[in-house]
Amino acid sequence: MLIRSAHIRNFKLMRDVTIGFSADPARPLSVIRGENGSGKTTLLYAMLWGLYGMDGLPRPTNDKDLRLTSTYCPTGTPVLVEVEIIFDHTDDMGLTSQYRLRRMVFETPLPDGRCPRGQDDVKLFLLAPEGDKPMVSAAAWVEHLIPHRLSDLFFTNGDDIQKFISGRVHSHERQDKVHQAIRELLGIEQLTAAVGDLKYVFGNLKRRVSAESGYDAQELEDICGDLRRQIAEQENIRSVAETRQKGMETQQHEWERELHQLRGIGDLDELNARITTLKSRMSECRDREQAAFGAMRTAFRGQPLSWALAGAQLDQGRGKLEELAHRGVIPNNSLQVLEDRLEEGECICGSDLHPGTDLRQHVERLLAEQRENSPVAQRLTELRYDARGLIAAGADAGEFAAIRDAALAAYTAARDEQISIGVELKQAEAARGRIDDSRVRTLTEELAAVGPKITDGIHELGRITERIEKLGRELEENEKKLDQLVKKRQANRDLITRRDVADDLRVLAEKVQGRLEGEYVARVSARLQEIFLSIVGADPDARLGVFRGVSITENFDIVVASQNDTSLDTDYELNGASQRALTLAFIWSLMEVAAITAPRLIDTPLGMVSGGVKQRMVSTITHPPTGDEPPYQVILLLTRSEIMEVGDLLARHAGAFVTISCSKDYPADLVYDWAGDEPVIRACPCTHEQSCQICARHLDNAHGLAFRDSVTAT
Amino acid sequence: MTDIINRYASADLYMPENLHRVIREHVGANHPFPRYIDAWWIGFCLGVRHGKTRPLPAPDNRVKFMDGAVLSSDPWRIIHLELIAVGLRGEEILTTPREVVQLASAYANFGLEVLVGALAGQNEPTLALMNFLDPANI
Repeated sequence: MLIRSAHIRNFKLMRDVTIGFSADPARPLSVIRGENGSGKTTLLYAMLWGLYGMDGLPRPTNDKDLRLTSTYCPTGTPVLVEVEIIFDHTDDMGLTSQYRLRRMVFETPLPDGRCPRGQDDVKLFLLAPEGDKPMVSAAAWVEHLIPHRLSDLFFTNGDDIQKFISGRVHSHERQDKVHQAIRELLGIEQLTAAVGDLKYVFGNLKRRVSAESGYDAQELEDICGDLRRQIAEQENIRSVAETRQKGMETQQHEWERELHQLRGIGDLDELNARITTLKSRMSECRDREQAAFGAMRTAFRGQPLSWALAGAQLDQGRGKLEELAHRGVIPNNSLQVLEDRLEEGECICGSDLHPGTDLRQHVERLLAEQRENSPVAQRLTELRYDARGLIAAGADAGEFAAIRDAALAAYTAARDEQISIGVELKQAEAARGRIDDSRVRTLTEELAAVGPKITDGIHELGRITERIEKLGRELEENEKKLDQLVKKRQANRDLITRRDVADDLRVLAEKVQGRLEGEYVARVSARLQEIFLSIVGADPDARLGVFRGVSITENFDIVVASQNDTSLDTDYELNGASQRALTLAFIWSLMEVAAITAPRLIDTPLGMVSGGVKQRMVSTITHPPTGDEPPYQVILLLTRSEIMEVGDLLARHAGAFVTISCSKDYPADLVYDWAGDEPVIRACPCTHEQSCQICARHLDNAHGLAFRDSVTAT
Repeated sequence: MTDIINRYASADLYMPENLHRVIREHVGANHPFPRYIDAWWIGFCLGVRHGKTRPLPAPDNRVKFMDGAVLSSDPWRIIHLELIAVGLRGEEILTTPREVVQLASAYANFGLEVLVGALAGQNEPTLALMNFLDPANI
């Protein structure tokens, strides 16, 4: 199928637009140029609606029904929405015919925003010289030519293009998509249908053989039928259990991964224990610090400080006392001696001291004087002995320095350790802060709960499989008996032969189906690798190359191989350009191997691509078919920035150029005001190097575009 | 050692009001000085070490924080006080205990200024004071 043109009426802002596409195999590319908001996506949706009706359009994100008409359409008046697609189709005999597919519907915009629609009218006409010939079952024709299930392959946009490889789509869904695409496009689906038909025929013939073999045979056939039903039932149960099991295992894996990530920061219990230990050590250090302060305070009120500060003056005082002692001023013993002499009446020298003598009067005066100074002398004497006592007790001017050094050292050690512990504590608490405690506990509990369920599930699956095998053995025995009975009773030979032939054909078809699928997948896989590596410019043998190859696995996953037998995650380890290259390579390889002639319409495919990759990508997906490659058609909806760097390539490969513009962009971007009161989309035949009174934009000069009217004049 | 008689028990001990205001912030449990006398004594020793005195201000500008009876709780202080007094002024000074206390107050007034300077603006006054009281450098 190659699309020649599309005529669109009243679809969104496309009031009346006709676009021609290149159906020339030598120039398979059609370029639809349009800036953002010019109508490229509207064109894509119009084509999808034209082919598949509302099923072809994206599902609305809210409960509202999708609206086909422009919001500028007057309310209360039915609007005819119409898309007409003219295409070529070459049948299995190699005959090419032209068809016109027309889909139309009346939509009535209402003031409340609703847009009730009538029933789609879909018609398909074979265009013949003698006149258009209506075809029956237009929708079935379209489904046959370009199945809706595979519309992702034929019509896509730069973002949705990754559905075949992206991990953001559930793996089963992604594998199913790849598998479905391979089966549909390679005709394996038809073979599967044939296998089903043969099974049905075989079953019928078998029942007839049994029925004609007599009552016992019929009874055996009933038993076999019952066993088959039981087997089917058990297989269904097993399938459900397997799905559930897979779900639980996936969930377990995801929980384990999340828990592992959380625990990668540090085990919570371990961290808590560490924090407790650190806090305890910190508290101990604070106690030591306080003890050091205590020692300092004790030192402030102690005698050693006094010695340290005033030692010189203390020594001076002591020296003075010693001097007094030396002079005999202290200790004061003369008082007692004088009193004794006076009492005896005789001086030490033998002189008379009896009352009335001059000498006695002198001694009495001396005694009075001595008595007056006695308390001070007494105190000085005591002080001398007290000071000696202090010295003897170890008073020392250097003692305070030792106490001070010890207290400061104890404080510094405690403080340094606190700082060190504080750093460790802060790190541990920060690590604990990053752990979502409740999430860890939830995950731990969930994992603890799901583990036994998975084990139970495995046992349950084993029991179901055992039952199936037992039923299978019973079935086999009964079938054998039945077979023997049928043969014994000389059942209708012809019927038996037909039954056996049907069975042989069934077995053969199943084998062919399996083989084809394997071979085709291998071919698609090989071609996929070739195209992908060519686009990204990778040499699989390069020592430092990132991409070593691409393949489709048995599970229908597309896997990108890298160094050391590792594979790359297509979401996170491939850049945007490589992701697009991979998906385009898959679509192209599949189409090539299937030898399908079909359009490939892609909206903004080059959004994240530039440089050499862009050149090679455009070259790969637009070059004329060579060798055994079937003809194909590629329609690229591109912005001006996407065209940059590949303009020459597009000019060489394109058989049709169309530029679409939307009048709402006047005057901000468009130069000319060519629309009425409502915004509309129009198409003009300008190439990427031209402009005209419809598509001319203010920035055209910067891009060096030629005004087409003057081009035409010359 | 003999039983020491405190001949200064009846003497009042003062601090200049401006210095007392600062010192009281540093007296008590978990502060550098358990009692005012401990601060005063360090002030006295510092004054003696520097050999400098400050006269006691007028009654309005001084605060009595204790009397000399407090010296009995640490009798060695009486010995030190008297030794220093004798060393500085001669043995006659002991005949008038009041003169001894006056002498000590004058040195303490100077020393307390030094002490307050060392404590000013310190987050950890005990540590600051211990660092300050370096016998080798003070």
